[in-house]
Amino acid sequence: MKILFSLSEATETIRHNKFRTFLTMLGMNIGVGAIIAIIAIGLMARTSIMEGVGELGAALIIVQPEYKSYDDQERPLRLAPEDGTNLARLFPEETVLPYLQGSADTSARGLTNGEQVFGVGEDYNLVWNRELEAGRFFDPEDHHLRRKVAVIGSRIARKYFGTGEAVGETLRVGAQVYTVVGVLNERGRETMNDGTGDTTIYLPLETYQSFFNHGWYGRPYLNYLLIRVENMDRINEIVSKTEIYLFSRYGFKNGEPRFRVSKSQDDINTFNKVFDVITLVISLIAGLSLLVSGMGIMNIMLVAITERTREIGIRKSLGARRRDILEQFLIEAVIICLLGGGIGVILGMLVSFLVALSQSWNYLVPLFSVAAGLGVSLVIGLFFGIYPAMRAARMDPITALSRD
Amino acid sequence: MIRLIDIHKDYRMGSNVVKALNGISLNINAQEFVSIMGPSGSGKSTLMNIIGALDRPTSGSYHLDGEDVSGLTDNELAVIRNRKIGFVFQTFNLLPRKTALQNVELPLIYGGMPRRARRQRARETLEMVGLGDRMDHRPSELSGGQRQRVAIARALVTSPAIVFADEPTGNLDSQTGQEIMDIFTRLNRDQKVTVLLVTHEADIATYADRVIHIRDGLIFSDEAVVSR
Repeated sequence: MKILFSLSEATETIRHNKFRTFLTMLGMNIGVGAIIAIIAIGLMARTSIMEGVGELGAALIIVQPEYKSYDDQERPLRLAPEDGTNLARLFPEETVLPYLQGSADTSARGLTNGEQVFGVGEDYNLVWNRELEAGRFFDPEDHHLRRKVAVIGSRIARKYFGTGEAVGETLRVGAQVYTVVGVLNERGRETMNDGTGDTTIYLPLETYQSFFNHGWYGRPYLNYLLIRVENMDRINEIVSKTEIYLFSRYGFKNGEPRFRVSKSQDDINTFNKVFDVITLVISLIAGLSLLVSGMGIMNIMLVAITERTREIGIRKSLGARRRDILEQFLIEAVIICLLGGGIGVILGMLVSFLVALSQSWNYLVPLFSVAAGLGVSLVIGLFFGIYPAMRAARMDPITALSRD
Repeated sequence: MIRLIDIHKDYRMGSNVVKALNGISLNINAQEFVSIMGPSGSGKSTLMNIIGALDRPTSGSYHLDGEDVSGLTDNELAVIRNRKIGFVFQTFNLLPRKTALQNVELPLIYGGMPRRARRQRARETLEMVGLGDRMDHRPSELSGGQRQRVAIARALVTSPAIVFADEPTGNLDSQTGQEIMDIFTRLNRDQKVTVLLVTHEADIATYADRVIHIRDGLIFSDEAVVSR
């Protein structure tokens, strides 16, 4: 019952000192808000990556040169086209997708520009399920007959052919002229990406091999290849079998593997590592801000006690015990902190909502973070409020009463 | 009601010891109306603080309403003040943000009385001092006399053994001062409240039945007032 009384006393005082209370709470708002936001944003980002993996309905393994194993001046060894066929034979249940990648001067209807060109394997759209705005993706004949056909990203279509029909038109890419057979839909935000986009020109891998030079490598090569693994449980087995295949074929360079085999889940791990650091830094800043605001609250409570010395004297003369006074001022500090923390929670939720909106993530705020935010506020209120409250409680009634 | 035996109070000021009270013995009976007078520095305030259970004597014993109060802890003294003593101060000492009713309720809250009962009790007491129509006013909305009446109601609300009035008319004009003194007289006469009045005004002091003069930490004189 006395607690209720102390509560009403505290809210009365806070109402009376609105502006001062607001200033005192600012640090709490920011500190708690930052904690809520960082936890929520981390959760949403992780969830969105997980969903990205889920969307594909499979896991991806990417095989590419391990640049770290080479000195600065050295040119890394590339994968050969046979590696694609060998791995496909090794994993008959999975899909192996080779990539070639480069850029070339492209022109159509008098416009010439440098564009990104990809040569992709026959199973490209089995792996990626890209939707087409018009036309079709490559068929096996396009590959086997090394037809000069291209599928283009939506922005390439707009750029070279405007709003008109692009399918059936021709496009010069490098030294050859290609017929556009398909235009891809504009792609939204993607968590899983193979490096291609709306400004990519796709050619059948075999066509690319015929008409683009092999650069400095002197033999046909692949930039990288993807393995789409249908059964997630097999992913580690496939990674290690791929590594063994590559070791036995290419050996080591300076004691390190020449090729890196990474899985899509590694992205999550990398993200987690990076995000853990960000979380740590922001938490440190938030913690510091909470510490400082705690000291601010202690300061304001000490000021309040000096201002209200006479009030304390009056209350004591009327029979308030030390505990009554202690309770009153402690609860006042706690309420300021909880109010600050509560506003911080709302701020944090708002910030994470805006981030979720801008990243088109599902909006999630874990309940435990809200509880933690309020819990931290409570602890700060108690910790920094106890000393001023004790000073108030210990005041001598006579001296307190004689104060103006 | 009040029994002081050889009360001494020393204050330590650096290496000096200041003797404020040098052995005061005093009896005040229930239902008495007693004035205490004395010039400043006489030890009057110190005596007041001890009788009011705000301070403890250095030596000697003090019984209030049959209870030895001299050796109590701070919290025990707080309980004594709450239950047995009602204070009326020169400067009223009301809490400015609270209404008259809330001010009067305050001692009952510290005494742990349930809400409904204490509301009722506070209302009755305010009505008794003639402020039934001012209960929801804050001190700033009340005149000096009205404020002092709120303070009297607050002192009386716990039905204390003794009401302590420290220069209760000091901040009031003489007309209002008289009204306040009439309240004390009435309380003493009709409600049998024991009143202890501290003042430096001789004519105010004579409202009491008995006047005690303090000088140099000792009782200088203690005489009954011949009827007014």
